[in-house]
Amino acid sequence: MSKYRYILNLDLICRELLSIFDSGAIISSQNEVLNLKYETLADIGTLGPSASTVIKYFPMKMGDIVILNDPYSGGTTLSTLSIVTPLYIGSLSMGNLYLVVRTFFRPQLSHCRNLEEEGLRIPPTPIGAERKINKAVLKMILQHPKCPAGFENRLYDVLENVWRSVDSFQAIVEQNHTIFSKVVLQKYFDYTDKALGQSFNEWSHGDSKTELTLDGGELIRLRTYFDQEKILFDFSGTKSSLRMCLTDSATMGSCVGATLALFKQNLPINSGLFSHFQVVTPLGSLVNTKYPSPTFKGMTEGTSLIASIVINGISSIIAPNRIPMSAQSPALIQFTFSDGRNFFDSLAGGIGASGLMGGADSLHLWTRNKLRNSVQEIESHFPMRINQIGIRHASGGKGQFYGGNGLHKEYQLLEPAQLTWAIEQKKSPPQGTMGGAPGLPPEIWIYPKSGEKYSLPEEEGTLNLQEGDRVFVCTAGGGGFGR
Amino acid sequence: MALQLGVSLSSSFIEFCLTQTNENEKILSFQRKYLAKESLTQAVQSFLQEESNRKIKRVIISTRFLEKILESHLGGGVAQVVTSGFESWPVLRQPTRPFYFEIHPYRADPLGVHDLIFPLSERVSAQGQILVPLDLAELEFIAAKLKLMKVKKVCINLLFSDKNPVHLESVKNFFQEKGFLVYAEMDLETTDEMAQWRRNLLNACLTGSFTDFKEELYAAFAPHFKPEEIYFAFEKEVHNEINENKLISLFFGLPYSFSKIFQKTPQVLHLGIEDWCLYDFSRKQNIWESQWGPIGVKTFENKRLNVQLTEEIIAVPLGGLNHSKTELGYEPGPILFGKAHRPTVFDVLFAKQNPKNMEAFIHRQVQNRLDSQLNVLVRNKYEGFSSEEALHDLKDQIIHQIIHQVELNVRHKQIVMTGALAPFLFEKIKKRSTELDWILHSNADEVEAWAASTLKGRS
Repeated sequence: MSKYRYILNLDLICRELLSIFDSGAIISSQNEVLNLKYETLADIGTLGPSASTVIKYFPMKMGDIVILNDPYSGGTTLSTLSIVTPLYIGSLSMGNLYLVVRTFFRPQLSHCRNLEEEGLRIPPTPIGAERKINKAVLKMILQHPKCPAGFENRLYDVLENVWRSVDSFQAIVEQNHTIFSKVVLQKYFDYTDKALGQSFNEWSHGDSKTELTLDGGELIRLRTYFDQEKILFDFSGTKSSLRMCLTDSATMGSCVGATLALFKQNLPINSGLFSHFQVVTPLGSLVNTKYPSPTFKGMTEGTSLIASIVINGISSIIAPNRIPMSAQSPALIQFTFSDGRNFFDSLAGGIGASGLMGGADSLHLWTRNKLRNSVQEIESHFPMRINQIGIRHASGGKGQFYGGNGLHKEYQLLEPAQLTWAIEQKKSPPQGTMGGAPGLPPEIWIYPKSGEKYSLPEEEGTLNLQEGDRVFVCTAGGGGFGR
Repeated sequence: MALQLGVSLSSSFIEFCLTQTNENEKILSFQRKYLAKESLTQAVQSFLQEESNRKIKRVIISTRFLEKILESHLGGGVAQVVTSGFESWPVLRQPTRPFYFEIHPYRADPLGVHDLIFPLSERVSAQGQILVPLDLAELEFIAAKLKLMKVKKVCINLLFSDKNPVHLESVKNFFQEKGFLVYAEMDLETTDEMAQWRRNLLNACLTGSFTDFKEELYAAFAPHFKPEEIYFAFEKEVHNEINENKLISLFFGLPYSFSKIFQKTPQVLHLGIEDWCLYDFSRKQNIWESQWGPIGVKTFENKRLNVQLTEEIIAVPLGGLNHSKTELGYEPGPILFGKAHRPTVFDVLFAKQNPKNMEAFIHRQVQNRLDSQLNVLVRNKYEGFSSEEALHDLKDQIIHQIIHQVELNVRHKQIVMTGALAPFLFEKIKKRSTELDWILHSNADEVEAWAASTLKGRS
């Protein structure tokens, strides 16, 4: 049997197993990532650590379940639940294997300065053994006022798929021990490493320095060093923030995800691939924040901003045609109604143009958005109406190639609600390059049922609104390229 | 004895299966024809000529021929009338591609052209209340514009038509009276408006090409069968009338026909000549994840295998050879079919053996070409292996990939294998996959047409 067959089969098995989950990873007891499926940039860097934390502190048997959402234990936002369970415990030379999967609840946006105010924080918590949920532990979680709606049903749904996958995987391992050997795993890593290395070799190498100032005044500094073997992202000099906070794992995920996107690589994400990356994040800076800093904005908008500065950093080394700034931070909107129902929406801006083509209109660059967008479904569940959704024409930066347009969306409240919003790139809209014009910044307009319309000047805040009030959101356009 | 003819018509093959209506386990006659070698009419006429001494009561067709239409030609000129304020919604809701992160993402191609989307002032609430009444003057304007543009097909895509269809019906009647073809099917089980709207759009896009195809089909069966004697399998029924608002339904006739014969063993691995798919007939789904985005369709849970018979064999970044994601189809098809130059999964599986049921299509004269193409690929990728060993290894790899995909997705221990390739792969798969209880269907080779022949039609 050729060496390739084992590697390709291992790759297929891992991908197929993870395909039914929103995101997930297979980790060995040596903390190696065999394969990973992501939904967001943060997933890329945090799935491994979330499982590693559990493996380190909880000796697990088959059928044991540990859940967590704590970003400081490898989670991302408090509305993302990670579930860790052993996948195979036995005599494999590659070690025991663990499965970590994630499921996403509708997020809750808040402008707090403490993680505990953002929602229910679940540190790594054993919640089951022998495939049975500990009802007492579950009850405690469900009784918490900030427990996400539908938590119990979702947990059981995901676990049903988890057990099916574990059983199938066990059967495959029993019949194909040779695939799951240390030697094959190392070759899998080596070949992934080599494949990425080959694409790195096709580009010129060097050093660059970039800076990005956020709307709140925070500074991100990045030194990018790129050679045939490694790519270094050094965030030394980056300041701290009270509102835009990422863990070092999430920063790592942003760097890796952005690099792969720039090099157009759809390689398996595993420890072989990670070996090319080195990320330096000063402790206490916004790219390596400490408990109890809030992380929602960092894990959503922040990862997008990190990705954009990484792309700028790399492209200034390798690409004669620099990639202009996309409207990479979505506009985040939330309506909280008096009965506790919470509607959250994430609206994409335009993608920046490049030297090859114009940008796409209103696309999420760094998430494959799983939020339900159906107008009929939203209006059926929430006391609101969506009056219009359209392309925000002429919002993309002009140039030889135009930046993508943002979008506009109008909500009308049928009951009083509190609006919470967060929009980045308002003060520094997505810039163009090589003479291209910037895209328009994002805007939010309030049309009260009675009274004059007004624009919200701040990039984030909360506001109480009445029945009949309308909220009109415009997302940013992408930067243009060339004259 | 009454006989029923089942026909399975896909992009490149047509299969005929004759059974008795009261004893349909037994196949009286079966043929498979390759449509690149003979036309649809020739294939049908020659079969019917050979069976001219039999009295066939009716014909039941399950067809995936529409996939061929979709590959080559989607009819343009389809207008959409949508609730005002949502003219860009059909474009904005298109799924993002690719699936992995990329700095130049794009949207999957929408079905309709943006310039042919017309807003209509009207609005119905989630409770079915009319918030903005219909303005007939606007409809006149839209109709006039469409006539000027020579557009004949109109989709009526209004929000909450399922809650209150009064606007939908008014607009539909208006355009029908003006002589337009109107697509306004409501799906009461799909709540996502885009899944419903795409269904209307796809039906509209298919109409022109399907009309030509239908006429060719009826002509092929004439004079032996009148159109009312020809039935089609849809997603949940068999009927001899084809409503233009239900064309997509034809895509799912095959799973429907399978569901009738696999009730006792619902987990089925179908290794057909054009499609390899894992079905679970105990579970239903309401959405079809099409290349244009999710479309509302009622069918059975299915998963297309990530290895398909006409996928090209290529060198891959991880090393070695593997199947690509590009299906080359059957025109010209695998190298073994005589005209192509790029090796496919089919060529690897049958490089050294002739599947009996496909002998008529395979040209062993091109063996040298196949060997040479495979050698070129194998040469630098399989150090220490002879070409023959490498080929054997690659074949085994493909079989294992089928097994792993199936084993990771099944819900039941027992699984039936069926399809034209099943008889050749059954023993190899069963030997390597011992945890599952594999059963080879007794009519595996003929299953697509045979399943159609067992259906009961409604008129």
